[in-house]
Amino acid sequence: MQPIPFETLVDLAEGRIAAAQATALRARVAMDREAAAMLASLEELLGLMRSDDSVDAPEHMIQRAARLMRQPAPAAPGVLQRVIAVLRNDSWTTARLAAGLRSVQAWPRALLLSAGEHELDLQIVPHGEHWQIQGQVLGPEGPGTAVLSNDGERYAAALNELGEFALAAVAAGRYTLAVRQGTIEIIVNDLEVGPSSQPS
Amino acid sequence: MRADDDATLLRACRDGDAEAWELLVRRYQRLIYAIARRSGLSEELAGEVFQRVCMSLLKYLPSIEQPERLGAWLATTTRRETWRLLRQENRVPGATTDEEEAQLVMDNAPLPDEVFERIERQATVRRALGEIDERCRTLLTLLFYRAEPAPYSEIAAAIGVPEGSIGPTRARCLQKLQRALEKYDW
Repeated sequence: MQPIPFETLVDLAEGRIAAAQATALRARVAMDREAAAMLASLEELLGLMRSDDSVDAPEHMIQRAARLMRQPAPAAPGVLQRVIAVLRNDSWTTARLAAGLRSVQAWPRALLLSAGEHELDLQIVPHGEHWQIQGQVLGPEGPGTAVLSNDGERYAAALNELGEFALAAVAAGRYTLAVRQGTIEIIVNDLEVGPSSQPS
Repeated sequence: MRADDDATLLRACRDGDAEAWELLVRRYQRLIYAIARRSGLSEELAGEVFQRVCMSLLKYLPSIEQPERLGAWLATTTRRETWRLLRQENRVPGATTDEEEAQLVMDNAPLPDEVFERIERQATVRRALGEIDERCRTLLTLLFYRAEPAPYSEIAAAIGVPEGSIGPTRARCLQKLQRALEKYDW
């Protein structure tokens, strides 16, 4: 039996062959294991392409993700750059918007803040009557420290090699968080920790 | 644009190469976004998942040991982050351990397994399509990525060949695509 040409199999997979002729051809293909496997592969491939209605992610999303590893502008040696963090995302707000509810207070609460070329990922986790702040600096890596303070109290933690840190659990209240990494210091002002915690 | 494979890009990313990082993000952006959107998330929430997945990739760059499985890792991570976001909205059950969460992600994923796998395979086909020559890429795109296939006359004009040669050229281009797919364990 003559092998079935690849182009004929493509025509069959693509549906370019008239019904009666296609039926006869398929019967022939069924008796040829190699042709049957090739036809199945072609049909799957064409099906995947024809049904692919995916679209590119919006450019601003891609650029935002790309910035996660952008190097900071070089600072003069020894000069500390202090950057005020801006809230980009709050899981409570996101959940509230999505659910159309008045209030959603699921724990842990996740906050994403931008600070120049860095992003700061924070989680506020309840611990009994207290709350713990865990976080990660995203961007250029390096050792550093995180310091949470308010009037008279100061709690510090070191950043690990991934820029992660976990502070001691603290009482509810309004704090300032300063995360220092190299010559950059990210400041989160008025971080309200507690049942209605949110940075202003 | 650099055409480095994933292993090369991952190594460069570990060395802090921001260009390599952006290439990786761009290479997989459609896959991540498709899974999030097909799971029913709005553009805004899909954007949140997109960012979380990229953060996870950045976090786990040093520990990714199988670069050839990066696409599958990202797809699974996207599915998990989508589930976590829905969990925050109380739209899916909660978990107390990583193992329990992994099972719940599988059991309660907003995207059925077959759809999830189909998106992954579609992404692989697009990836392979990007690796074959431009003429074949144009031909196959016009024929198979449109709601209505382009007529042969339009394809012939687009790639500069006689209309009569589109049939055989199409078959050769599909063979090239199949060969390009072989390295992805197709």
